Amino acid sequence: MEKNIRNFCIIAHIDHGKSTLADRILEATGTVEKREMEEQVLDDMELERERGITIKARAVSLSYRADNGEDYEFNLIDTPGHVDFNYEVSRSLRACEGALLVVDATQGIQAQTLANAYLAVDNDLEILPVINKIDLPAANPEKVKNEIEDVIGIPAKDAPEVSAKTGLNIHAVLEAIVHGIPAPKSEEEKPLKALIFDSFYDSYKGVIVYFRVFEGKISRGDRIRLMSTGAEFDVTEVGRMQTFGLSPCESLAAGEVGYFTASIKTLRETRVGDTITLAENPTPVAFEGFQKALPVVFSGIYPADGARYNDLREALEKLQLNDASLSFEPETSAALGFGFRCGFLGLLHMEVIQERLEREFNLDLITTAPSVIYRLQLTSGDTIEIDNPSNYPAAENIAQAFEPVVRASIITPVEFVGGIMDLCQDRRGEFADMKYITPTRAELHYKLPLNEIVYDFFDALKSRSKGYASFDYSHTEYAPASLVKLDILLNGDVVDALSFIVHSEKAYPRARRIVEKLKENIPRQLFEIPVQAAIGGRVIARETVKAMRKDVLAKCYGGDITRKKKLLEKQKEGKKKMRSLGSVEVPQEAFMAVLKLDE
Amino acid sequence: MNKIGLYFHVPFCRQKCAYCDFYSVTDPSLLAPYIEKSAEMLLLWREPLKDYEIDTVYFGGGTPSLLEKEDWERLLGAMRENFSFAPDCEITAEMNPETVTAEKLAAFTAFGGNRLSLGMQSANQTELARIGRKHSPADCERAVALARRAGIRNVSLDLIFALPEQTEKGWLQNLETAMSFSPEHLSFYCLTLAEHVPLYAQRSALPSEEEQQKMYCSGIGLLEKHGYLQYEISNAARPGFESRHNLKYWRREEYLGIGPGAHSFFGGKRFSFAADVHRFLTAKKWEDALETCEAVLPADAAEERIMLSLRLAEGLNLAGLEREAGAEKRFLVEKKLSALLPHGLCRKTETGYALTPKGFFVSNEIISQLI
Repeated sequence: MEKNIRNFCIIAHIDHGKSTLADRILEATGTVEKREMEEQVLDDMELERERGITIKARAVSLSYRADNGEDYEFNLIDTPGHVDFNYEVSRSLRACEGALLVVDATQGIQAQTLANAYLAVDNDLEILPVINKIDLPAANPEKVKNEIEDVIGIPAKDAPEVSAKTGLNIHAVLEAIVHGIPAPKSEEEKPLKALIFDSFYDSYKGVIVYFRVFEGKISRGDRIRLMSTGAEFDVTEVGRMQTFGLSPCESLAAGEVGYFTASIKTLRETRVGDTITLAENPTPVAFEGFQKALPVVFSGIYPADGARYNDLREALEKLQLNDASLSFEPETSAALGFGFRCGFLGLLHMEVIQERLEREFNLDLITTAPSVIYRLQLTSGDTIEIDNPSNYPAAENIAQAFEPVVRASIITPVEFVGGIMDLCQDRRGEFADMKYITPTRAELHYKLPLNEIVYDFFDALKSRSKGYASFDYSHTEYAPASLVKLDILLNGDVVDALSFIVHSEKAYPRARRIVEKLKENIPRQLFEIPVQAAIGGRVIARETVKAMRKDVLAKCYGGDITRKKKLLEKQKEGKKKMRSLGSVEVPQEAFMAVLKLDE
Repeated sequence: MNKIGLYFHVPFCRQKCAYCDFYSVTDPSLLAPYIEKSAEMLLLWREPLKDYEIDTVYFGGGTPSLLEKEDWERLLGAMRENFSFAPDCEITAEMNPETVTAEKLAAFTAFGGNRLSLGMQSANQTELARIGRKHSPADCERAVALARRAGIRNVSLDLIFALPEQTEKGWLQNLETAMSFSPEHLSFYCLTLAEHVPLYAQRSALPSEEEQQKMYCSGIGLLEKHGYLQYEISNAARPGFESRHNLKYWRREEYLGIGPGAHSFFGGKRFSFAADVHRFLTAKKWEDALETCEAVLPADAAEERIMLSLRLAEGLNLAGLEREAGAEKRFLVEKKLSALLPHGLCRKTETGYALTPKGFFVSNEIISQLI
């Protein structure tokens, strides 16, 4: 019997209610009883739940009896909600025929609404708008519908108006899925062609691969081939994802979404976007657009307590089991000791990994300033790529430097446009265009050097727009830039962990801020400590941490040695939170402070 | 024979000074029972101290000069009767200048008392009043004269610097006045205000840390010019008149402290009695009044050595440290200290390193880097 299948995903700007709507759909289809519902079942990482964002895609199969009396299988594929994971988002979208575009009725279209909607259009998805949060007093569904029609250019007049929070009108969403999203094409006779859109590591089964079958079918016992690597595996289990676990079956055919296991050891072997086919009867052409997710932002991560280096390594290994896009390799810093150079898909990815390391693995970290990948044409004629300021060659060896530039889209209430333009200007942005989405909201496009947004750009944007501006970016190109390496010296010694690459025009103000911040954050020491910023040996900014003058227990009454000893031991204990750089004790906060210069 | 120092605490004051954070009570009716109880309790140490000779005794306070003639006779008498004393035993009493009388001194010296430490604090009447002292600079001069008449050849004056609104010049004048009384020994404590003392309210009038450091260093220079050599962070003396009792603290020699809040280092343990006169008065045995008691482990011993010897001008003996803590510890300590040489925070001695006055004034930081 032919199945009624609907494969769809939900896309939205952050906090517009994507995960809550997913929960309501799960509830309404009886997949989850309300009482078993913990908020937002699909986001199962603690951090995701707290930040209200979905970091990794998940998928689940639901069954729904529609008003027309027919039974439907819904495959809901949850997508990461952030630009850092654009590639993963696009692969998840590729696995669907349609997308629910959730828009907050109080906020309207935001930067990620647009970015995600465009991705869905690129993947030929049928987009069904859903207006959420209509229970809020500030909700203006009509205005938001107009925005959707004007800006995205899709019909929105009949869009369901829902409150995912209260469960209002969820039924209308389910019916819209049945009638608005096309059924998948059935091409079961052809050789197997399936798309990997996610995978995760299970310590018992090995890698569990999530896929969508487009042609043919996949069965338990099949020998399959992953087309990007040619690696072959024997399928040990095939099945569907249910809310609270996996449900094995014999086989899955074209149009269906499910998982398989095949004793695969690491996620690296099962890249998202790869094509699965049968070893004996392969499909002639793989899916287009497969690429490895490449890190674009790099940072050194060190344990605050050097003795916890091995704990940090184990924690990174564990995170990598379920996040193949996280890369790391050992790195040594004269200042910070042993740590790791880590590569991230973007800023949020970096922040998420750092937070998970601290929270889930209880690690105290020192991170170095984030860096991007610079391309350098050397005078020798070679071209090299540098992601670590420590490896930056001397200026005389560089013929021309290039830096990555992104296309940034910022949506903001119009009253903040001026301030945001100043910010983008200050960050060396090149204005592209601006249009009014509504009379009160504008969308700005800028070309911005990536290295200008890796430093506290989000924070600056937030503070200049009282939190109302939203931001999204995509990578475009490398552009020539006048770059210099700025070194920071404490007591005359370069602190490698504080070096960074900066545009030559920004070097002086940045240097000033850094030496000032360091001066504020380094406590007085036994002797005066010069804090200097230098380019190639030329000092361009200097501050001085004054010498400590008084720290003495003058009286030691009646031979009370014990109390004195305890006092000094406590003082010594306090030093453990400091990094000893040569003869200078630097608190962790000093390293962190130089990462947030805009405060 | 083993030597030991005896500290006797007199936790009584007529009134509390505005800067004082030490334990004392102002109820005079407790003094007599306290003396009686102390004399009794002393006897309990006869057995443990049977192989010891007492070579220093120190009456500290509180205000030991509240003790009358009979009290001195009772206490010193009990000590002399029950313990063996070294012939040159140093016996010190702290006294407030206004409470010194010829009669008290006669009783004190009759039983061998031979050193007096006078709480002069300042030579400036305004400063004395501000910190709640009830004596005048003249009282102090008079007390020194009485001491000399009583045959006491070892007199120390206690001064406090960095008082509210004090200047470097004012402080050096205080020192000049104190030296004009010709004491053998001078202590100069930097004012430290705990949050709960009355004078804390005047903390904004305190000299800055920079000024305090200057006062400290120039004071030491002035003392030296007049033949008073600094031998500890807050102490200077004419050669041969260093406080032998206090040196026991810094040199890790044994001492027994009797009374509420008194501290002891005896038999490899450091222990203290609760700062509570009532508990002391009702104790049947010493253990009843104990507050803390810790064995000093070998690892602690080396740390104590570093921390205590660096309070002294004689400094840290590196060979001794190596014996106690090993060559690696010696290497690390030596490395850190030698790095401080160019900054004028320490100096080399024949046996190791000692801090300079500038170094003494930041000694907590230095020591906490070494232990």
